Amino acid sequence: MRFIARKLGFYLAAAWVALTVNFLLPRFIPGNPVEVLIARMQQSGPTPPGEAQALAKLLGLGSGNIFQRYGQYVDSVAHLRLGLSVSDFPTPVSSEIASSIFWTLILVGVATVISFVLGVGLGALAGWKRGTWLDAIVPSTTLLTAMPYFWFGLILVYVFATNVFHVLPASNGYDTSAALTVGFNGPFIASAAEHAILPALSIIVTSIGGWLLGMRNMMVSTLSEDYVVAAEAKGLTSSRIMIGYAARNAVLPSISGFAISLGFVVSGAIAMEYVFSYPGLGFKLVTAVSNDDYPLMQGIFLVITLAVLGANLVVDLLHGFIDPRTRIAR
Amino acid sequence: MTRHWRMRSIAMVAAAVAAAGLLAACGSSSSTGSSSGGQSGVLTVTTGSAGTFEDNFNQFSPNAEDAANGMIYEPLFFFDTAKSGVIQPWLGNSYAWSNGGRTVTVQLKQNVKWTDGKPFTSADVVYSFDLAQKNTAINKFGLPLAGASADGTYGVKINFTKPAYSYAYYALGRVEILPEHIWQSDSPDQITTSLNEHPVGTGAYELSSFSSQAMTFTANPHYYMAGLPKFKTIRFVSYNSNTSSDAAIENGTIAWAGSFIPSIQKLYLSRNNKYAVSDIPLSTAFLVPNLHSGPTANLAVRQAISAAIDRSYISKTVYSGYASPTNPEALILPNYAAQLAPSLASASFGTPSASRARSILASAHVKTPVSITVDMVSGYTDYLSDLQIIQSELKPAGINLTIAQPAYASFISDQSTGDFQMLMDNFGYVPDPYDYYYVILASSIAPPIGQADSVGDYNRFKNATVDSLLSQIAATNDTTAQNADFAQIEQIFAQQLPEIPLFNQQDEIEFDGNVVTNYPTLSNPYAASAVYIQPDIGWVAMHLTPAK
Repeated sequence: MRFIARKLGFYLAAAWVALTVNFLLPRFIPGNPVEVLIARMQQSGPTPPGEAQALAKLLGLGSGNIFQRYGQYVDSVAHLRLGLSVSDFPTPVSSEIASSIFWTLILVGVATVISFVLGVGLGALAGWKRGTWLDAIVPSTTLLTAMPYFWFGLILVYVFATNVFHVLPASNGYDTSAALTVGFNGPFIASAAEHAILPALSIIVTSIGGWLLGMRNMMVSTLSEDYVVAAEAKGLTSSRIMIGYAARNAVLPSISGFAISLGFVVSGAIAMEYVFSYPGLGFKLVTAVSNDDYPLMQGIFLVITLAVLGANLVVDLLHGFIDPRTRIAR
Repeated sequence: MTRHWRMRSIAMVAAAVAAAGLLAACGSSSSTGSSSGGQSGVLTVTTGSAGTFEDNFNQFSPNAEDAANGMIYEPLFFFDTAKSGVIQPWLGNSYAWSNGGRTVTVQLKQNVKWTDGKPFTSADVVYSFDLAQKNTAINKFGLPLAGASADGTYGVKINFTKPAYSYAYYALGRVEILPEHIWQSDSPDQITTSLNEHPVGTGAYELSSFSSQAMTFTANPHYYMAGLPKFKTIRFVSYNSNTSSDAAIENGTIAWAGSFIPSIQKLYLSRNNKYAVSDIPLSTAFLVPNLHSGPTANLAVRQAISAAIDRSYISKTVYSGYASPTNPEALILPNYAAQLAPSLASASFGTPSASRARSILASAHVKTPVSITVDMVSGYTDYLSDLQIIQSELKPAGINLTIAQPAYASFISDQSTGDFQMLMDNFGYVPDPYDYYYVILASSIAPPIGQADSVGDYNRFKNATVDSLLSQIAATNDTTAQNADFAQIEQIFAQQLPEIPLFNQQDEIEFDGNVVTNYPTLSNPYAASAVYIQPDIGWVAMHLTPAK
């Protein structure tokens, strides 16, 4: 219990620091959202005098000096009032996030889990059978990881979607040319799944090498531990030794890495969303930053911060469960 | 991504002689009542702006989806953005000025219905103008309104506080009419912050489904212009980058697009003999120099820059021959041909030459090399190519150009406060040359350098003659007198180079002739063809015809 309370306290402090940075960072970006909005309005006609003040009030950007604004910011975060987006004014930030987060969560989340499971599984096997042909494929996966993601994504589009084989869609989250209703219905889910194949494949292929290599190396060093030798001496089946003794210990560092990448799932895969025009949160964030959209940036950062902290907390607690040694306070 | 990022909107009408036939239907407005259906086909469109859609059809929002202005809500008249002076009836049938330009009386069409079935009357028009008069946030064109009143069920008098001829485009061609019965109970704050997800308009199309990646519009079955619209369904699709939208345009998924395609001849036009590009000059790309400090305050330096730039080469290499060079007076042609000063009819920049530039600098005793930093918005890849060419052309002339690429927000901030040595931007997208020159030259709209300027004249050009010529143009609707004033402004522009004109801003709009015909072209500029120009988008959308 003390273990959990201490963890919670630590994460609360971390969340406060992150929130404060979240408030300060966007304000260091040159320019301000009202000017951007006015520039955009001017493109459709002259803007009357006084428009800037009216807009600042309307946008709820806060008033007074920076400390008063910080106070207003903390107050609205505590009440989960995220305000209205500037770059898509007057759309509420919450609905901007809602419209993109599920695409990201499902696609990047599933791809990350698949990549982790496959990578760790293959890594364990490669480490177990070190020196064989299976072990020899490890360098080739690191090659895939080293490839620039953007380029690899474009190659996939070129080969499977636009130029060589026309088997998979090149862009968007579902078939936008058919009259589909977004929601829980068969045709939409089928279309969304089809559109997820290439982006997911690109994420899996480019990220699997890291998991694989890490797991394989841990596996090799774990296999030389005494308790593995002891298990072998007891005559246990080799699959039981591999999974129950070697892999269980070797996977611990990968689990921590997995926690962090799960947290970052929320921030999306910006390059992927670019290449495949996938409607995720990463691209939203880029748009927000280039428009000085403080409310949207803060909203997205808030979600990312909470997701990363949350994922870490869960894994920290899980760690204590898998590996009792981490529970003991010194 | 190109500059159509979340681009400008401006627009108007048109109708060259060739278009007159096809527009005849809308001229004979009072007759037929609803069109008899007969629409068919699906037209798939992309705006060329990156990012997903927002369910926002509030015309008072600067981020409303383009379709809101023109396809759903309509103004009283259509001013052709691509052909100055051409004005077509839309919700209005005719208008007349009186009271020295302080009053305009509009006769409305009588067979118009809102898409919820209620009739459209003068009460809706009065409501829309009253709303603007009482709330600056809603008066998005800054009109000097003094009140509107109904003149029968189908007549409206709109009063202004001063002669408003120069506001005709905004008042009659841009203010879109709202249904009073739907909006009357909302407060101004509610109106400006509403998303209006279920818009009820008079337009040729109705929103039938929305997702952040695709919006579908269906033809209004009771539309009041006979035989229009022609397409049954128009679908907008979003893309995050030009790479993916270009791929969709090139393989024929998209039939109407406003996306920049590099090497367009090879990557697009050569793929199918029915692929076409509509490129009508609507705005001018400029180098905007600081006129008050630094080397560009010196006219000789501006002249030298202009003399050294090879505009045809930029057009050829960066824009595949589109974006042709403009003229020394920066008049957008053929759009504003009526306002061209006879003495400037054949004016040109001369043969680009570094040695001529050097001798201009030498005879003005300018010490070389001159160092200038030019700002452009980060990510406008074609502007970067342009500036790199200009950089290499200025170097032998003794001018060292440094290219800075701030992000959009910081570029806008520098531009509006006048805090720059030189920057690259474009101005235009208005059907009236008065509005065009006003934004570039009127000193009354620009505060001193350092204060944010939200209208124009970013380099704080100040010339008393130009200012008084502009106010003379605004005070009359006598076109002969106006054209004489325009001629003087053009001459001053060519002599003083307040901004250095480069080329007609590229607005290559792609049409797939296998799917769609009757789109605006240079020879038939009945409207601006760009998807992101409002309200032309609505006018074009209803006139586009499915290919057989």
